[in-house]
Amino acid sequence: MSALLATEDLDVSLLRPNFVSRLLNPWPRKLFNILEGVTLFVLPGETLGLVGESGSGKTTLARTMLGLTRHSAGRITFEGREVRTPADFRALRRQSAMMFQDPTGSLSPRLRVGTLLAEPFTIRRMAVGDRSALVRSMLAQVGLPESVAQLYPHELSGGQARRVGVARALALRPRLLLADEPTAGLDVSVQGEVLNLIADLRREHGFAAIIITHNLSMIRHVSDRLAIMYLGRLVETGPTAEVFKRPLHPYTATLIRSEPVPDPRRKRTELAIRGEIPSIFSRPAGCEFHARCPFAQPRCRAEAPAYQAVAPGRNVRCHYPMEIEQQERDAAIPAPINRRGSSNEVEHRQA
Amino acid sequence: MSFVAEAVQTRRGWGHFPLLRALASNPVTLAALVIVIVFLMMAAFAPWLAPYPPTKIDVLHKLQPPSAEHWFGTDHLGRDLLSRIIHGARTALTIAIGSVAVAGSVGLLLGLIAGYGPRWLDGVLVLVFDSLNSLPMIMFALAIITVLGTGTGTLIFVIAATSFPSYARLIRAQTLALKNSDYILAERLMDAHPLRILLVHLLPNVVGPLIILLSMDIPVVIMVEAGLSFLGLGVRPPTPSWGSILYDGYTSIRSAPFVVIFGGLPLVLATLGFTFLGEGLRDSLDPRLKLRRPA
Amino acid sequence: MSASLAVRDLSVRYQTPRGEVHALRHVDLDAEPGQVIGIVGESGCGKSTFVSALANLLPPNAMVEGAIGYGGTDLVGLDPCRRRMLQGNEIALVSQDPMTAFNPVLTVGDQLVDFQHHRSDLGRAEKRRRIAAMLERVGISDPERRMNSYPHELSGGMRQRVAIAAALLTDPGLLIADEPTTALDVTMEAQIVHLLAELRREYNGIIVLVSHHLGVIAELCDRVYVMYGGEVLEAGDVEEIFDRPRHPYTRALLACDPARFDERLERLPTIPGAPPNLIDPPPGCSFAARCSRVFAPCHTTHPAAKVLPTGHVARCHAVVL
Repeated sequence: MSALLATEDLDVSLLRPNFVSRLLNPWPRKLFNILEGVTLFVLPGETLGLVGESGSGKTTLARTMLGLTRHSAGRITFEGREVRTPADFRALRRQSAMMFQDPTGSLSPRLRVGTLLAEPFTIRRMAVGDRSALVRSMLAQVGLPESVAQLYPHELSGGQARRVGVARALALRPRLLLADEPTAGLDVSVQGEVLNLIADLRREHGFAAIIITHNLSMIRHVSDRLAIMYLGRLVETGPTAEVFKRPLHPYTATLIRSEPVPDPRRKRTELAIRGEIPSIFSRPAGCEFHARCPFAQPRCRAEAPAYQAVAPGRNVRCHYPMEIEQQERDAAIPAPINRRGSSNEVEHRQA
Repeated sequence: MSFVAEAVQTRRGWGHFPLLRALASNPVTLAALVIVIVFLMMAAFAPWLAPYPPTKIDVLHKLQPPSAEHWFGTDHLGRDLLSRIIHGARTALTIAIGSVAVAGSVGLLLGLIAGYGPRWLDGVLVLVFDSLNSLPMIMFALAIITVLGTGTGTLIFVIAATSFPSYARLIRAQTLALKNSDYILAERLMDAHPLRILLVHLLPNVVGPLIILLSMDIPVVIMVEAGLSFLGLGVRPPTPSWGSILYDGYTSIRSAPFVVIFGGLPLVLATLGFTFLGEGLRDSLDPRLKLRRPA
Repeated sequence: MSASLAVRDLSVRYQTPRGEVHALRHVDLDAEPGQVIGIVGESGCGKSTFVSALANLLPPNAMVEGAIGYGGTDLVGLDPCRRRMLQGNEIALVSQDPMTAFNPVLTVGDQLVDFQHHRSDLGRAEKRRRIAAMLERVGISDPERRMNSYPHELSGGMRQRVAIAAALLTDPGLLIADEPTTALDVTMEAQIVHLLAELRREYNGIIVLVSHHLGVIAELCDRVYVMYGGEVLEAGDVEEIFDRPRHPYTRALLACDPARFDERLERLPTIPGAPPNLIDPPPGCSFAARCSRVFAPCHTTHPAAKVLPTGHVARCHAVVL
């Protein structure tokens, strides 16, 4: 199956020298790459999880994909055709939608929900016939009562605002949905409702979704494939279940192990990762992760690893991906997986 | 969804004029509101309220102290002071509201363009704002009046031209702060026309502080108009103005102090009224000062 | 100093234009020195009101009833001046966003010196030495250099470490950590949790840890209080709460956490419905409207807190001894 949206060697740099500044300053200042060499694709109808710490460039990547941030090198293709000019991006945005992190903040504060829901149609000057009937059906689709149409965004709860965001994003039946931290700030029970809603609508309409998050325990249940980012680069991609079962990059392994387990008998004594994500202004030489990597070798400090395919559908940016696995087994660190429920009889209530 | 119903109900409970009700709840603001309304009435119905025509000269009864016939007395040409003050309100408020409205709309428009438009245009506009701001108003007024002559229109032009940059800067700063907010990005992603983003999404969210600033600047403009008229740079002489009343009374301050006293009183009252109304507006419009419901 | 904490029948109501909000209702809580108390619940359950009541940070429109007994003294009944004196030394708070806890124009070192203003017996140099030692203890390398940094020069994780150091400087008997890891990334969260786990071994006061993250609670706490609708619905030892939850709300909350399932779930579990309106709380059980085991008395009679032999306390009609 060919990709719906794909990026090839995408770079985004902080200072983009334009013609004038190059005339004024023939020795341009150093460029800092926020994104570097990102090669990623999403297939029609699949859900891709984009995971990383804050500052890893996940949000920038999403914005670049839709042309809100301009890329400085590489290409973006949509259904095999390159997206380059503003008109190309407009065409791409017509077929895609994005949900921002702050559910309330992405709704214009002085407009009522009803007006906000009709906006995608108003902007594209689409004939809608009965506007209130349209708003009612959109609200019903995301499980909100009709009375919500009369409210202002600040009168909504976080979960309700998120539902309004979903309804707006999917109004024009996009083929691609980019959701930036769709569950940030929501309670666990509401988080499940929002993700189930997106999953239901995805099954119904068959759009592809890219979900950006740092919440690993959530993303493993909703994504088909995972892409892990570190400091503006992809470090690992692969099918979600496989990545969780057999992480190839030490960063992925530490991320998975950093997630606290809701089981009081599995208190950890070992700290999976030390130190903090470096700044893009002082990108470490060699492999960017070597300073925090428990398995770093001399080669890692000197030579940047390539982003290579190690198995069908699995790419990793590490010199010693397989050996790490071996070391982990040697160190007998308890596997992050296999925390399947204790014997308590929790009810798995389904919405 | 009980809280939805509750929210809907609360809004209905607040009535149709929540702002007016909030303003009236503070006694000082209420008094200010009454003063402002009285002055607005005086300005609107001056010809009907004034007992005499404001320019009717009666040299035989010049500088008469307050009496049953002339409540505030008469000036050095025998004109009725009360009538001149009532008509002066019309002059003062026309110029104040007129110039503030002109300056406010120009400032709003240019501020939005500077804040949301391309970088080079922003640079040009900020340069314009700064150069206009650096002009001393009195000197500028002198120059303009020399060219255009005195008059209400000239005054409005001068005051608006020197005061709109500060409004434009305020709007520009607000716009810059909001232009990268999520909801504007969301609109851009839907390919909303820039004009739509400006008018539907940015304008309503930046205009609040401007309205407060404008209402607080009205008394400043009233004072400026009075000052310019006092210096003889304001409205043309027979037209009554609070500033020229003061100037006329100033020459006879020893023999007839009531002219200066009654001439100054409306200036003081109007300034206080508009200032406190502006503060009341700020208190009830500024969301940061509102009592928030705890989580 | 270490003293025990005994909260009795604590209720907090807020006067608002929309009516009276019953933010906290009849909360009982006990803690002994050396214990880590976890408070867990969803947003709007009364966690932050409870923390504010403990830390004396309630807004002026709040009305407090009941008692907060600390070392035998009732903090609620104390006059404001003496309460501040006692709290300044004894109760420390680590908030969710440490950026707002620091003054942006002063260096971290200067602010931490000011935190020790009550220690008139110490000179400035001595205070700075204590700070350096404390920063080292919370895992900040090169503390001397960090003391000359401004808050914005520190990363989020680093700021949270400094905030914890600041809280420990006064040697408090009660340390309140209000969502200390919510604003952090997973890797930073793991490091702060690790730090708190290390500290609790040496620290002999009480730690009250508020979080909506079940994993963090499970990792750090001895005793857990589950809050909902301004009430404590269930309390018990951490193993009891996580392994043998008795209250239907606790069960539902635990079942919602996707971290408990390794295999991909087609649908994530949820709790249907919305939390109760605290302006007009339901007369019966506050969870009745969403409960799967609801029966006749739940809607009308407010359940009493039942103490179970296992040390559990549960507020539910369906729980029998």
